[in-house]
Amino acid sequence: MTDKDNPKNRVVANRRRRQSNPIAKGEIASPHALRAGARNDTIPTGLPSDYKSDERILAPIPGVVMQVFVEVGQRVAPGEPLLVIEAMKMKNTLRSGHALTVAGVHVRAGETIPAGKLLVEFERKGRLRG
Amino acid sequence: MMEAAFHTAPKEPMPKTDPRLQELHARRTAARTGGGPERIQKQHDKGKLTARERLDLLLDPDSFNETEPYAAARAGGEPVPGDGVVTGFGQVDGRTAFVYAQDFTVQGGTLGEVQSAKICRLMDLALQNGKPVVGLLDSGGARIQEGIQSLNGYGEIFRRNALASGVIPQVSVMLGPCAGGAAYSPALTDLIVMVAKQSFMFLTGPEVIKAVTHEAVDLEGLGGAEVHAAVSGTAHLSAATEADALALVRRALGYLPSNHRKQPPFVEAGDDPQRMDPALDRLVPLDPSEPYSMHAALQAILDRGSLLELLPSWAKNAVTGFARLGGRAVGVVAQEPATIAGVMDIDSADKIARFVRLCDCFNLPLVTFVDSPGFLPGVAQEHGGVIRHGAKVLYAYSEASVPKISVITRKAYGGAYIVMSSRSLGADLAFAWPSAEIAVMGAEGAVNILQREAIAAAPDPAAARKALADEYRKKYSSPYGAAAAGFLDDVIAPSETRPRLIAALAALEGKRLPRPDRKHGNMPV
Repeated sequence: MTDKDNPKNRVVANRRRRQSNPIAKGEIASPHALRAGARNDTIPTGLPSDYKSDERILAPIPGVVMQVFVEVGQRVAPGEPLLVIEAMKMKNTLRSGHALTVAGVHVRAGETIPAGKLLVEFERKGRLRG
Repeated sequence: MMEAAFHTAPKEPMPKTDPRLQELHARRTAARTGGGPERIQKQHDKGKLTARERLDLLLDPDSFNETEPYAAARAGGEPVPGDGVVTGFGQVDGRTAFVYAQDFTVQGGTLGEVQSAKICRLMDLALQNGKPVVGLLDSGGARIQEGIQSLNGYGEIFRRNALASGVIPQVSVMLGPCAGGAAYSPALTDLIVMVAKQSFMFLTGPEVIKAVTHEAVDLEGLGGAEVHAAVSGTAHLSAATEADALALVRRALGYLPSNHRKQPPFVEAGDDPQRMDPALDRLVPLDPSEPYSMHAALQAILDRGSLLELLPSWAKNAVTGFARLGGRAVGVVAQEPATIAGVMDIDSADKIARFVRLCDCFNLPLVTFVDSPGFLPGVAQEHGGVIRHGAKVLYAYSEASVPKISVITRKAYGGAYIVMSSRSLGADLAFAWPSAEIAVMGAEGAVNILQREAIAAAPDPAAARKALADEYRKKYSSPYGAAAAGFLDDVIAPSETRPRLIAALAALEGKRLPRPDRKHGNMPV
């Protein structure tokens, strides 16, 4: 168990002195930094919901795939663009929220896609997708 | 020594000689021990704090005054210290708040008749005295031994949550499990804060679900912090640790008045009200299909670091959050064009409507930044009731009697133009940037309909469409047209937005709007 996972260390972190008078100080740590399990804190991914975005990317709205930037086996960094969908007359860039390895790309440029279409899949942590 | 574990050391000296004070000291110490040192250690082993440690982090130092520490379960048998909840009042940044913290070390924090009575009495006090209520929830749920007493206890709390709604701010901090009916209390409150991998909320748990619907899911995947923050849209704020969660509560309360009769606190942020950021003028791309980051615009316009986003991970095509402009607390609503073009849809409509009504409850002026191409078309949306959900936004903005200012940064098409705090819904001041496009629909869509034959007949239809669209844009969707027609108060440079908004808020400070007498409206839900 790493230091971070040790529940005893969480108690220490939990006991950390409260932010002293955040109002008077004005500046405060960004709420993004405080979000739960928020592996994609301040990275705008262009996705309506980031839940399980470390496993797969689904099309958030119907549209046309304009560009695909990644291929199978490619490692992507948090914030790196994966593909661009043209929808509602705008270019919607979908980005990775995490550092991951692409396991599958299911669309190509020019393809019309419905909402919910599986676009990109990532390798699950610790094991390759079968 | 036991005493060192608790922050609330007795303020008055306790001479060891007087037997009466000795007894008081002993009883008080026993009451503060909760479930005992072993159970406290168990709580710590799980990486969780005790009820009193949490109150220590939430409240200003030495400000906590406990109420009813000796309340005991009536069922008899073993004593149940405080019946599993610590109640009282204290200060948050110098302002009184009534607080309760369920004590997991006592009977698993389960709710019985007396725990409910303590909480209800606390809420009654808060309501009568116009102070916020903060509940720190960590409970195994209903105390089965007490049966219907326990159910009734929950009902009494829910009724008070509902009756206090909009009178005093109510915050729920989920610090452990919250299953079954217990989840309804937080659902009735104004703000829900959850902690990653530690808080869980659901009506029916994984075992029952498995038995009834055969779906296999774990606690985290069913109702953990991430699910409620990003999927269900229930957790307004979430944090990595308890300390962060409680710090968030302190921060959020700083934007709200103590009750609906008061104005939100004014806090000098030390940020120049005349600051004009030239980067704003270059933010919106000339190519209408290129998105930009509304978050970047907000950071440049609002008081630095003052934006506290609510539901940041859900319905990300809309942005809702508390902020400050020139030290004045405001409610900010915006679209995020970098997320699915900033369309309006079911979830973003829900998010905006609830937030607008929260701000109206507590006298937060509404500043709305508009950039939306309209409502998301599609069968899923229509069958999902986008009509009902979109109508909520109209209702919320129309009903709101706080100062309302809107800034159209780019697209404001059709229904999106109307619902997003337009003049017709009662916006006091409506501004637009030169990049604004205000129209029934986008230029391409419009010319496709209006000049269908001309485009079909042209030698190069695509080029003709583009030329006609550009002409349409200049003629019909330009903000100057809307201004000439009397629907905008001014067209402003993006970099002017901050000083203009701050001046506008000062001018609208005393807004009072009479409303027709009625029991309450029938808001679409």
